[in-house]
Parts: sequence; structure tokens; C-alpha cells
Amino acid sequence: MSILILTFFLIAQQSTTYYFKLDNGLRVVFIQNKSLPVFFGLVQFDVGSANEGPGITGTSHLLEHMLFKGTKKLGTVNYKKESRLNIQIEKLYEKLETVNDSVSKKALMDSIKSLQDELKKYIVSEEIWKIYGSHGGVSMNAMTSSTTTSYFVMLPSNKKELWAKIESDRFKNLVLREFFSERDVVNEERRMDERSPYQRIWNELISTTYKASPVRWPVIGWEDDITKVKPYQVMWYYKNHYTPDNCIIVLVGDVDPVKDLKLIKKYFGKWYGKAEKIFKYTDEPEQKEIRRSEIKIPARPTLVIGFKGPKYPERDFYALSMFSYILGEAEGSILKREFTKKGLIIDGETFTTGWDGKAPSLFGIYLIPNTDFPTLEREIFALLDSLKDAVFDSTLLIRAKNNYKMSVLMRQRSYQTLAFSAARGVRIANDPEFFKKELEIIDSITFDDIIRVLNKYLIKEKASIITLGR
Amino acid sequence: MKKILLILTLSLVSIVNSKESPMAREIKKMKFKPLQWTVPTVGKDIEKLTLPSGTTVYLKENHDLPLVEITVYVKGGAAYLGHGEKLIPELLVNSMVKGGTSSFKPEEIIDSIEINAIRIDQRAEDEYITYTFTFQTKYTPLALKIMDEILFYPTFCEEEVEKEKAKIEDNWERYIEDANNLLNEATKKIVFSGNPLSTKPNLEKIKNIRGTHLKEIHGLFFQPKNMVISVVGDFNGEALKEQLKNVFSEDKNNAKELTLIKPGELAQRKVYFVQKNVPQGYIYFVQDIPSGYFEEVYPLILVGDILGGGFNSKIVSKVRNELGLAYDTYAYFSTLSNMKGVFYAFSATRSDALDQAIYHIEDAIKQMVEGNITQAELDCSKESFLSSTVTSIRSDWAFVQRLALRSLFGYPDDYFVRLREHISNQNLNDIKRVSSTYLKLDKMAIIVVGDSTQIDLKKLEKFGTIEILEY
Repeated sequence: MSILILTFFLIAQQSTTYYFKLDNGLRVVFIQNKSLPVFFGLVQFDVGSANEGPGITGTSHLLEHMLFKGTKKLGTVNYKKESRLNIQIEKLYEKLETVNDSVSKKALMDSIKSLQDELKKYIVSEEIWKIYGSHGGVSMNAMTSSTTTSYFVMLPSNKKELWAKIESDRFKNLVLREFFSERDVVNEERRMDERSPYQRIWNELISTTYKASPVRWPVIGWEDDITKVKPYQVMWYYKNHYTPDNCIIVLVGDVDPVKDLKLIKKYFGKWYGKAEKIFKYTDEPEQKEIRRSEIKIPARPTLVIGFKGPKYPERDFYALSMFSYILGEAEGSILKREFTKKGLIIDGETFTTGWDGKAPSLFGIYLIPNTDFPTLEREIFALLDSLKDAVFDSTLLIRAKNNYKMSVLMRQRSYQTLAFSAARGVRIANDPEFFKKELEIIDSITFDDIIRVLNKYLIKEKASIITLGR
Repeated sequence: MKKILLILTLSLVSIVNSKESPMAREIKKMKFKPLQWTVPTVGKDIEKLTLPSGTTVYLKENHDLPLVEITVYVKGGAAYLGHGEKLIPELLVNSMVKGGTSSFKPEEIIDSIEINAIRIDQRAEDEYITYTFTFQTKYTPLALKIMDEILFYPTFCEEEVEKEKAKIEDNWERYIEDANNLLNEATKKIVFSGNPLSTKPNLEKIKNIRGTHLKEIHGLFFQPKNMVISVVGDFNGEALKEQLKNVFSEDKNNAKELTLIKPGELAQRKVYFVQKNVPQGYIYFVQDIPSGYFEEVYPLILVGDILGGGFNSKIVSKVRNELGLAYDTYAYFSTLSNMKGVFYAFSATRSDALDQAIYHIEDAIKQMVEGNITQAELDCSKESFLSSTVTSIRSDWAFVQRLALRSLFGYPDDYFVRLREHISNQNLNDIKRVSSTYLKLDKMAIIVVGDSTQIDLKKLEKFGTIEILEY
């Protein structure tokens, strides 16, 4: 049977989007879809690990954990008494860092333990989870990336005021409750990450590819920073970044833009403060040589090649994304077909990461070799060179575009992905329906664009090459 | 991009004490307008039919988007094969898509799928296989043709099978490098002893397998009588039903029947230790429970929730929140099986604190067994379930799939409708009785993966006789 090619499709419009900006700078998006009496509430801050610096790496993520611990009136039965104990505990922890002998350390730890036991009388542990849970909340998540921190939950639509009351309180009035034990939990999370060879490759890839940009350290942070970061540093970070002008709220589902805007104004309208934009995303210097890194651990061999690409959302970024699909994302991609046929790889994959435009994008080729590293590396660069003036099969671009559009269509089935897409649109282009403009850009990409980005960005001398195993 | 997820499903939240903050008291005074909504019902909101071939179909039209999604659940998997053949179902399902069919050469079928952006997601679980086909409405005839070809007429081109074999072997090696996955496999070795799920894959066997052998296994599993389907989306019900009759037709059944080797029972308390050079220790408590649907699945949901379901459950509040020993720790009852149900309690912690974590998990289980459960814990657990009925539906797309999968394991069609009523009716005595009936500390195995140079094995002896497990 011959290959069937059908026509493009249009993205259906099943929801209506409304976008507002409050006087305090808070941006609010409603996406109305009344098929179920539920809503998905997303609160996203324009801050992530790329806003950190040496000494405080991992703070965005640790802060994300702390935001579940409560406020002066949430998570406590007596904030005054609790805070007095917290001050004492903090002082003891400070002292603990200055003593070296085990006897003194033990004595201090015993004192801390006794104060923490006392503290338990006042803390209502994880109360936020309990309240949301008892009101039908599901999918409560928090997520930290290099560029954003997001908090979300799905609730029955008659619980919007409850949501607004809790969220406005925790984002305006955070206290650092159970700080030291949560720091330990985050360290356990980091240890879990460490066990993964994939995570180690990723960490090595970003630190090798980027030398100046703050996207180069892991979101979870370095162990030394996680272990030593102080409450006052985390509180400083919170006050500087958790401000209304740095925040986007998206409600998706059974929403009423008129009534719900009133509700948002009632709870978030008197939230003041401005993000201190003292931070600058350092531009990456030009890379003039191949960079290499080897992770020699007993693990299955993996080769990853990374290139810095155009900044998102420049047009060239979309051309590179289309090339990524053609080269290695699809089952019928050039890499998967030709390289497996030649016996060079067992499997392979390509990817692009835009970093929300805060650093040059990353184009990666991830390979599971079926030959030695030098041979595979040589073959990859030979392939890239051959494509730089190639005449591509025209169906390859149609395939890439259709699949991009299908992904957009499928995302519309989920309130969560709709909310994240709207928030990203607001951050990038001040447009919650930015995905529609992106579809237009995708439609206009040609093979000439692809050839241009290939020649401009995928240059051997500007590659970062990571090997793992063997 | 690296994302750090703090994942918790709040439908499983319980309470540990009755302390309340000023905010909680304010919230208690709030009034909420009742929701006008009921759980979707089979026969009214969701259509069900049984095709002449024996295939059960659940259909739900939803015209919000020009999309259709068909998920085919097939009874089959490694549990129904021979020892050492654990990886064969995965090889089978991947080769069915990539190895060509009677009407399409391997590259042609991939090209047709990708050019028309038809999404196919295939997965081999231990006791069932799923294929999900998602496509735009206007491509329905082509998608059904492709579905028919893949499910019933795969040709297993040897060249493609060879490529898949290499991938599957490599995937397995990578999978088992991860301590958490090693824990899962070591646990299967203990829990499913006697059944092929308990044995390591024999990579030599995989190397020698041919397309003809895959065809035989395909003939065993992929019979319409072994299938349950969910169909959701933008379709015309009457027309689609006719098309499904043709795809899942009677002539595609044969005389082959699935047979299952029942695993042995977990009979005694023991600690199994698996050596792995990792910075943490990984723990599973496991115990046999009944499988499939039985009346006490409802109270067991609450028991699992109070014990280790959410942030305020006994295990999480102690091991994670109070002691900071673990990022990830939980407990639950798994009953979707035709062999045996299993109780699981998990934690991962630093090597020097392993015995502490085990002690506190055991202590929490003991509290459940001894009836040390408060009315407040039960009330909160019930409340979270009842009020999350509407939110846990999520969408037609997800709900009909859940219904279809449960039907494969004998759950009744009104399970989700009855869930609400049954959860409401549970009282503290029911929960205490069910806890002491189903949780048996003396029959629980504890499986530990960790580094014996960092873990003092002597400290684990108090939890049971230690057996070093090779994997």
C-alpha cells in the first residue's frame, strides 16, 4: 500500500480565553470550558533556578517546598509561640556549624530535638494538603524549572473562593516553618536524582554547553548550597521574587470571567511589592572550540552532543525544532532509520530546549551507540554536514508540521496543559493564545529556513560532547 | 528542561490530628453552593456493548475537539508466558507497530502513521497490554485500517525484530541499573515466586527469538475475546460500532486459551537484601491480599489512604514530615490482577537511617493492625474521597479508560458509582476490622536494595531473618 497523505487540519476552539492585568501588575487568565463543574488553578512565578547564583543554588526549589508549610494563620495554632521557638532553633543550627567535636554536636542536636518536640504542639503539619484534600482537591503539584515556579490544584468549581483564600495567603504571607527538616527532605530528593545516569548526563551537558548562563546548574542545586542555605537567604529570595508583577494566575474550566475576576481582585488585589530586577541573565560567550566531558561510571554507554541554538521564540528556533523532528524525534526520522540500519546506534533521539528565551536554546542529539564513541561521533558530524546542502524529501516537513499541530490539539484535552500553555504565552509574548501565533510560524517554515539554521548553529567546532559509560 | 515535581494526588489525603489553624476555622465557616453533578453511568452516559467476537466496548461521544481515542486493553503479558520470557511482550508490541503488516511494509506503516499524525502508544504490563490510537476525526477510516493491521495482521519483519531486540536488551540493562527498578524486580521475584514474573529475563532466549515465535504469542494474546476497548471523542456512534464489529470480528478468535501459573503465597516474615552500590537504601514491605473485585476493595482504599496515602497519612507524616528521612514514601493496596493482590509500603532513605525508616513504617502498620486509628483520620480520608469524586473524573478521555481497564479484572460497571456510597458507609469499626484482617505483619516480606558497606545489616536482623538475594 502506498503512503497516504491527507491535508492539514485546523485547531478547534473548544474554550474561550480572557486575559486581564490588575493594577498591582498581576496577570490573570481565564479559559472557560464548562464540560465539568471543576477548575484547574495555576499560580506561576517568573522565577526559577536560573535566578539563583553561587551559594544559593537550589533555593527556588527549596522555596517551592516551603510554600506548602503555611503562613502566620495557616499551619499553626499559635504563631507567636511557634516563632519564638523557631528563632531558638535557628540559632542552635547556626552554632552547630561552628562546632567540630562530636560531643558538642550531639549536645546541640539534643537541644534542637527537644525544641522541635516542643514546636510540634503548635504546628499543624501539612494543613494545606488536608484542607484542599477535604474539599476535593486533586493533582496538587508544585514544579520548579530553570525559569519558572508553578503551584497548581484541581478543585470543584464551587471551591474557587477557598482556593483564592489559601493561595493569596500563602503567596503574600509565607513563614519558613519546619525549614531544617524540609532541607533534609530536599537533600534526599537530590540523592534520588544522583542515582540516575540520565540525570548525570543532563547535568554534565548543561554545565559543559553553558559557561556563563545561569541555566548551567541543576534545578535542585548543589549539595553544599542545599545543606548550608540559611532561612534569611530563602526569605530574601521569596520577597524579591514572589510579587504580583512577577506572577501569572490561570484558571481553566468552569469559570466565569466577570465573577471570578471580582474574586481574584478581592483576594489578590491588595497584594503589593515589585520584583527586584537586579538580576541579569548573563549572555553566553561565543563557543570557539569543541568541549568534551567523560563520565566514567559502570553504566550502559551513551553519547550526547549538544549545540547552542537560536533564542526562543525567534523564528529560527522553530526551524530548529522542525529539524529536530526530522532528524531524530520521529520513528521514521533520518537518524532512527539510517543509523540503526547501518548498525551505528541501537536507538537515538533529538530534542530542543528553549529556556523561555533566557539563554540560547539547546539542541541535543542523544545516542545509544552500537559502535565505539569516535566512530559514532564521526558519523554524526558527517551526517550533519551532508544535510547542510541536501535536498530533503518534501514529506518530511509536512510530517513534522502535522505532528506539531497534533500535539497542540492533544494538549487541549487537559486543563493542566492548557493552563501552562497560557502562562507561557503570557510570559513570552503577553498573549495567552501565543500558541496560535506559533502555529502560524510553524506553518511558514521552509526547508530554506532549516538549511540556514543547520549551517549557522550545528557546527562541529561549537559542539559539546558528553560520553557516559565504558 | 529539568523539572522537579512534587507529585501528590490529594484524593488520598488523611488527617493525623484535630489541631486547626485560624485559617482552617475561617474556612469551616465558608458556605459552598452544592454542585449539580453525578458520576457518569454505564448505560446512560456511557454506552457499553459486547461484540459477537466477545470484545467489550465502552463508548462516549465528546465533540469538543476533532479527535478520537481508542484504547484497546488486551489480556496477556509476561505473567502468561514462560520463565525468562519477561521482555518478550514488550518486543511483541513494539514489533507489531514497526515490523510491518500484511498490507504495509515496515517503513510504509510508520510513514502513514507519522504523516497523518496518528499517535500510537503501546505498552506491555505484567498481565495486560494496551494500545492507544489517537487521531483526528477525519482520519477515522485510515486510523481504523491501521489499527486493524497492527492488532491482527502483523508480519514481524525479521530485520525490524532484530533492531527491536537490540533496543529491548539495552533498555533492560539501563532499567536494572536503577536501584528503584532493581527493587521492583527483586520484589517480583519474592511476591510472584513460581510465576514467570519472578524470573529474570533470559537474554539468550531474546537473542534467539524469531518473528515466527512472536507470531505464535501474538495468536495467543491478540484475540478479540481477550479484549476490552474504550472509545472516546468526536465520532458517530452507529457508524463506528459497525466499523468496530469488522475490526474486532469473530473470525479473529482461535482455540488458544491463556493459562496462568499461580504464584506461591508469602508465608513468613523475612528481610531480603539486594546489594547495590547506591547512596540510599530502598525499601518495600509487601504482603499478599486478594485480587480483582471483592466487596472489601472499598474499605481497603481508606485503609491504604490512612496508612500511607497522602501527606498526613501515618507513614508520610512520620517518615517524611517529622523525621525528614525520605522524599518519597507511601503505602497502598494493588488489586488489579488475576493472580494475587499485593500490599506495598515504600520508602527510600539515606543508608545510615534505613533501620529507622523500616521501624517507623512497621510501627505505622502495627497501629493499623491494632486498631489505633482515630475517627478524625477516617473522617478526613472519607471527606477527601467524597468531595473529590468530581475532580477525580478529570475528563471523559481518562474516565472511560479507567472503566474499561477495571472491567478486564472483573470490576463491575457501576464500581465508580458505588464507590461513593460504599466509602460513605464505612465506620471506624469497619476500618479497624479490615485493617486487622488484611494487614499481616508476620507474613510481610521486607525487600531492601542498598550498599552493605554503608548499611549495618545487623541492625536489620530485628525485622526478620536476613536472606541475601541475588539479582
